[in-house]
Amino acid sequence: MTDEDLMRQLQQGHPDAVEPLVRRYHKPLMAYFYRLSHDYHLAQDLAQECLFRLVSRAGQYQFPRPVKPWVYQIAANLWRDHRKSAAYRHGSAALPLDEAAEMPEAGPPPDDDVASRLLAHEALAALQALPPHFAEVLVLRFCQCLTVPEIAAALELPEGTVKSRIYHGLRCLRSRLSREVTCDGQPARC
Amino acid sequence: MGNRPDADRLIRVLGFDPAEALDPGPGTDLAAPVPGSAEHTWAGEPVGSVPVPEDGDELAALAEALQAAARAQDAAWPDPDPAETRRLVAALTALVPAPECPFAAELERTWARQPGWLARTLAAVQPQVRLLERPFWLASAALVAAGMPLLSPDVAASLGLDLTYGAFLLLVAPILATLGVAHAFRGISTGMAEVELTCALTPAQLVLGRLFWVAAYDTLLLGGASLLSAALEPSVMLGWLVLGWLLPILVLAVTVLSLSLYVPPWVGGSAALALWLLILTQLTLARDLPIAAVTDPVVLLPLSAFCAGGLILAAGLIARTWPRLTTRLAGLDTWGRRF
Repeated sequence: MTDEDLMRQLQQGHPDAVEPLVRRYHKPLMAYFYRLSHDYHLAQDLAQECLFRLVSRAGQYQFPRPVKPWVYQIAANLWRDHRKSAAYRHGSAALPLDEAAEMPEAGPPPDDDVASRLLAHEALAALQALPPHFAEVLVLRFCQCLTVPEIAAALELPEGTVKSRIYHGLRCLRSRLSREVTCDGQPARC
Repeated sequence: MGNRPDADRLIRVLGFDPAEALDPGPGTDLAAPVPGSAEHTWAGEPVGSVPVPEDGDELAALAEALQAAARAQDAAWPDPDPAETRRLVAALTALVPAPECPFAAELERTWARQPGWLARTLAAVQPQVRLLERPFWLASAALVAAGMPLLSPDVAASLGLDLTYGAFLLLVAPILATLGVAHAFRGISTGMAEVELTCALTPAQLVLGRLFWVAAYDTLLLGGASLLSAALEPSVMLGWLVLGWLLPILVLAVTVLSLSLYVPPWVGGSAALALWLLILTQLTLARDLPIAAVTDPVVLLPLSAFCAGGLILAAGLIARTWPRLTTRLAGLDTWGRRF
């Protein structure tokens, strides 16, 4: 059964649709929030809050609109709200790269010019240090495997803007990682 | 300028041609939304004529590294604790919205179209007429209509009854109210329950709507009968007579309704009626007064005190279930889970 069918069932008041949706989205949402926050417990809380909002707003769902971008739209809004919150501003706003490596160990990266010089977790950890508008599109595109139209729908942006942010975000990430690797001591700029 | 294989690799990993990416221009805040027009290019060139950048191969490699790292991380990520998932599912299940009901939605739309509170109230009350069904209307009218000729002085004397018209009305009023309310809220064993559950109103609105019809119809019947009594018995004081049957209607209706929240309507109705008759007996026969004395202020005044006590008790019983009464009804599933 598709996500869309499950959401329609949920809208019609069938509680049996809850469990499949939780099983499909709980783990990816935790991973999404972790990749942005590098805080396991925060990721857990935000993922649960996201699922709560998904279920409680099921009445607003319009079948057969794709569910996945909608879920990530809720998630992205939650993350933005959290970033605006006092807890974020006074707490974990700026974890340095080397302190933000709690995530499960990643496998070996592809044998390539840049990637071979990186530990996989460094590439992911570097995402958190990017400007937020770059980090969110890169995580959605390369970690959560959303397509450009899906990201555009989730972030309520034109597709051209999403493409631009992905491209410039990648360049920004490469720039930061290169400086990390070469240890030139310069603050990374995008 | 990059070569073609680099360009293909970058396009494959990005999911789009970088030439399609917008160039917001130097100094532009990339965080701000920019127009998604296909006329824009990131190098200020027409779409398709923009060369792949020199660092295209490195960017493709970085994107692939990110994807691979994310895949590896996903594989290593622990599954959520099953107990925690169960708790989460249980908590979320309680949030599942009540199913949408076309009948309720239409009723609500009809209601919202009415101008002013009076029209809206009437629109909410009107559907209850059909729900009360024919037995209620016929039986109530038959009880009053059959009683009046029986109590004409000649017939009453031949039957050995010491009743006046007024006393009859005071005795029949609580019976009408009890039977009416018990019938109107006759419960889930009838098909009415399903209709009630698809109603767009809250139970409180539904209760008021139905009580309105029971009280209004009984008042109409007994009001007519009172006028007739006043015409047949000039000694009857119309004001005391109306007060005499209006009180039991009000008190019995509210009492039966409040008891019906806890016990079946027929049980609650019988109990309330029995209590009423007991009080009436105590106030008349136990004081060596004829039953006809119920129209006398000597009986009516203490009766009013009992009525006030009964109303307070009924209000307390209703208040205990107020959250249920103010929860919107929306379907059988909702009833099953939340009631």
